This record gives sequence, C-alpha cells and structure tokens, in this order.
Amino acid sequence: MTSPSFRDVEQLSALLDGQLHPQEAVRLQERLAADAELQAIYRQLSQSRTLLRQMPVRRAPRNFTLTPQMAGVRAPVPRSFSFFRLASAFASLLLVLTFALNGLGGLTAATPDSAPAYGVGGGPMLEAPAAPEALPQAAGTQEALVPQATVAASTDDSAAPTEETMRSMAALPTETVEQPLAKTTGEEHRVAQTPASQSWQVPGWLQAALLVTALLMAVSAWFVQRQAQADFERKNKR
Amino acid sequence: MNESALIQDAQRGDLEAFNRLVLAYQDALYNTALRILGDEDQAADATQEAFISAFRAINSYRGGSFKAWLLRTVTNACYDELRRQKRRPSTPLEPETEDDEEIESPRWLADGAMTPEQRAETAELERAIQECLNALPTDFRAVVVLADVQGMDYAEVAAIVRTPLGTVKSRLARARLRLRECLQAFVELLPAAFRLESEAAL
Repeated sequence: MTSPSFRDVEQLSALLDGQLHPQEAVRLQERLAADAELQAIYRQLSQSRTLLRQMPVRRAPRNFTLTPQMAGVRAPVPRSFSFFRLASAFASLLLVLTFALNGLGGLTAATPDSAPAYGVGGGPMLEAPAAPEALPQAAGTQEALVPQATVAASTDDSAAPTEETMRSMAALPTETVEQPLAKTTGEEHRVAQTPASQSWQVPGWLQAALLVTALLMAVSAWFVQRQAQADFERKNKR
Repeated sequence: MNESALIQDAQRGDLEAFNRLVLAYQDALYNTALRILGDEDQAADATQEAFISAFRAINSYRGGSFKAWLLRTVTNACYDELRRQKRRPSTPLEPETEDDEEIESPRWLADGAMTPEQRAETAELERAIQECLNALPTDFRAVVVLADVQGMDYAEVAAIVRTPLGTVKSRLARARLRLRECLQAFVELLPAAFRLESEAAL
C-alpha cells in the first residue's frame, strides 16, 4: 500500500461527482475499500462538498430586470420618420441651392470686365466693391490718351503739377478723350448689364415654400419619433 | 415558462422576454457572484452587469444550457470585478456593533423558519465557509462554486471558465482539500457529524 498521490485525490474527487470512467471507478473503489488513508481523503472531500452544497441559497436582493436604457434598446424607428427626415433634408438642400444660385447670379454681374463701366461711365453701381477696382482702370484709360512727354513730366513732379502740364492738359481735345471713353463705357455697360438682366433669380416665394416644407418635415419627423418612443416606453413599463 | 421561445424572442430584441429569463435565473447568478466575490453589493453589481452583457450578446448564444451560458457571463463579471479590486484595493465598510462585531445580515435574520439560535449558528457557519472560499485562489474559487454550489458538471464548468476538463478536475480536488483544511479552524461551527470526524482525526 503506497501513500496517496495527488492523482489519487483528483480521482477520488471525480469519483465523488460520478465523473470517473466506469472502469477507473471500479479500480478506485477496490483500492478505497482496502486503503484507510484513501478513505480519509475521500471523506474530507465529501465533507467539503456537502458543506458547500448546504450553504443557504440567498434570494437576489432586488430584481435585476433591464430597462431599455440599461439594455441600450431604442424605440423602433417608424418608416414615416425616415420619410419626413429625408424630405426635410431634401427641402433644406434645395433651399441652400437656391440661395447659392442667387448669390452666384449677383457675382456674374460684377465681373472685372464690366467694372470700368460703373466707375467712369456713370452707370448704375450694382455692387460696391466693383467701384474701387474700376477707378484705376478708368484713370489708366485717360492716362493712355495723354502725350508721353506730359506723362513723363507729371511723374517727375506728381505732387505739384506744373503750369506747362496743366496747359498741355487743357489743350488736349476733350472730345478725343471723352468720346471714345463714353463709347467704350456705353458698350461695356451694355455688356455688363446683359448677363445680370438675363440671369434667372429664384423667386422669394419658392424659397419661402422650401423653408416652410423643410421645417414642417423636420417637426413631423420629431413628432413621429417622439410618439414611437412614448409607445415603446409604455409597452416596456407594462 | 417556455425557455427556448423566450430566448428566441430575446434574440429578436424583445426585452420583456429577456426580463422573464432574468427573473428565472437572477438568484442563481446572484448566489454565484456572492460566493465568488464574498460581498453582497459587489455581487449585485456583477449580477446586473452580467445580465446587461448577456442581453447585448444574446445572439451569440447557440443553444445548450442557458443557465451555464448565463453563469459564464456572471463569472466573467466577477473576474472583472476582482481585477478591478486588485488595481484599486478598498476596505469594505461593514456595519459593526459596539463590540466590533459585524451586524448580522437583516435578510438572514428575517428568515422565520429557524429559531434565533439556529439562525445565528447557520450564519456563523456560512460566514466561515465564505471566509475559506475567499482564501482560495480566484480560479479555484470559481470552479468550486460552479461545481459544488451551483451543481454544474465538469464539462459545463470547463465551458464556463474556459479551461480544459483535466484542469477543472484538478482545481476542484485541490479546492475541496484546502476548504476542508481551512474549516478545521471553525470546527465548533461544523455540524455534529463533521465535528466528530475532525476530532477523531486529531
């Protein structure tokens, strides 16, 4: 008879639980009947098991049922919600597009090519920023008609123009200066006015209608979702 | 209760069906957590966590014992709690009397089927066993609680703790021996048959 090994203890524990292979169980039971030490271990294991099994079963201190919040469950989204949301988004997008379209139309009317017309020709100034750009160009047109010598003289002493310069300026035929200029500005003015007058502006009533549609759809989507959430919570409370 | 139908409904997101399963298994899960953690509040937290995890992962349940599947989630929750405790150890605040003795659990005292003396004795024994359980390594404790407190078979325990069957067998045998040794210190609390055995061994 040898002293029991840990393998024997394992086998005894498994025998206790009926988890041993039948052949192994028979062999172990034969040894158990003849070995007092094995019997003592078997009893100890059995007592531990019995004590644990006799431990009182405590009742749960509270119910552990889950609320939708705990479970991370959300109310099912109704189909109408998706429709309203999509409609609202589409109307909003259209509204933004109309604003963008109108804005772009204004920008086309104020392109640099047409700028001199507003500054010099006395045409209607559609946009304020166009004026500063137009002025130097108009001045440039006038300067181009002044004789080179005069220009050179004026650049030498630009702060105080000499009498000679003033005289030469006065001697210049005003028609040659103003007529082509007037002609030019008149043409450019027409060129500038043409795209502005032809560009289509989205009417205000359409923008207002789009705004109202977007808002109505958004409110409907919110209402439908709120209703679904309330129904869901009511159902889970029951 | 048609468990399979409730599980199927829960898998389709029916929280009400899942809550019926919760009510059926909450005592088993709470007791497992209580014996592994040795603290009522922590056990309640672990149980709640386990049910939340179970609901979120219910579609991963592929048949077999639903109780064993739930016990796996609660065992994992207990391991998480024990790991958290290891990182941030804290001293539990037990209510004590003027003589520095812990006040008995009111729940325990409320049991009307026992005399006050019996209640006190059983409470003492329960506390002694819990103390011995707490002294076991976590892996041993989980195995012995699942096998001996919950009555799971070796294969189920192995699946729950994700350990080979041989390891479960070995851990269970060691845990039982250690418990028996530990309980020698509380021999006066043991039932008469156990006491006689212990005295004879001395």
